[in-house]
Amino acid sequence: MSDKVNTDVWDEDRLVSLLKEGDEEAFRVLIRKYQTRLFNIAYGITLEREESLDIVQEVFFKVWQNIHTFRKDSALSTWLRRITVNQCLNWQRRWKRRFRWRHQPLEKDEWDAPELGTDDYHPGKLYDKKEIEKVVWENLNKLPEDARTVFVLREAEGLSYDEIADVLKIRRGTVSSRLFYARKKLKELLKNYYF
Amino acid sequence: MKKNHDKCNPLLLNRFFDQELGPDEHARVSKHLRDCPSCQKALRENQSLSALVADNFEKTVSGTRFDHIEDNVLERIRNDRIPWQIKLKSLFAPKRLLIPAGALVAIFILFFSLVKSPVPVSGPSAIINSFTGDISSVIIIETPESRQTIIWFNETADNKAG
Repeated sequence: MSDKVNTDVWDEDRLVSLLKEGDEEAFRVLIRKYQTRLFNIAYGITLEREESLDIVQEVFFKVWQNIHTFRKDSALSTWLRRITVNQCLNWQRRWKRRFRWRHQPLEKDEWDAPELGTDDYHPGKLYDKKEIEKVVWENLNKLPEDARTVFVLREAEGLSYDEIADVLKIRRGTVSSRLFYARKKLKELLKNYYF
Repeated sequence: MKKNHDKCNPLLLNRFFDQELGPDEHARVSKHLRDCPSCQKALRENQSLSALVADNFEKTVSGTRFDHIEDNVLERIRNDRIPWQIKLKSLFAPKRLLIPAGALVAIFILFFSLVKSPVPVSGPSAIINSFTGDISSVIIIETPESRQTIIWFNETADNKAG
């Protein structure tokens, strides 16, 4: 794997035209540029680390298969986010059908253990940090799918209302109301912990 | 809060927090915030929630290994790399054209099935030219509708050569 790829020097037009030609280096750039951002969206919606990684892989593969259909009506990032959200929602629907949705979403042993002797290594602090993380994700999971998706796009990606509306193909007013609902609900759910 | 627009409006406050208000509305909410402790509190809660969630995302990302994504995707791409399929797909990419194109083909088929094929006119044909060489012979025949050229090769000449 080459580590010399500088993703910043590839402007979108050039990247898209090389992707359409099937240029492997362009795909490498695309993956490095967007994998973390798409993972954030996928994780925010599915709350499953491994599934989110699989979803991100699937998104890039779909891009490879369908890049010729991309006509620059929207930004490449919007297109990628849209595919990611759709993949996540499809994934969720599959899980719901199998009655396995809403199982324990947090990976219990997959966080970085602090080093012995550092300030972070204090049993009380460890519990708090883990607890905070757990409570936030668990309550995010309690939000309805549509509100959670809008909330994740706003908080994880920092998208504007117009950008979110573009990704989800909904109205700007709907974005505003879903976001308001998501925050209100989360604040209620987390009231005993933070607010 | 005498005027109606000075009343607390959580939805507007939410848009204010997201910097999604126009200048006038922004100024109005800013003014309202100066004298409204409950809206100030709501704004602080939004900020805390946002920071908390952002921190959680950051932690999750930092605890995730992404290096295998690139390898796996590129491997799948290499396995899938069949240029003619992609070309074929791109040919059919504009799906919105498929229906009109299909309709056009149907109209053509219908048209030609309804229109009677021209009745062949029987008439005299004439050999207008012919010549024979060592290897092949040519004959040109003219009918009322067309002129046809027939060429044939002399196999005997081939056998002799062989």
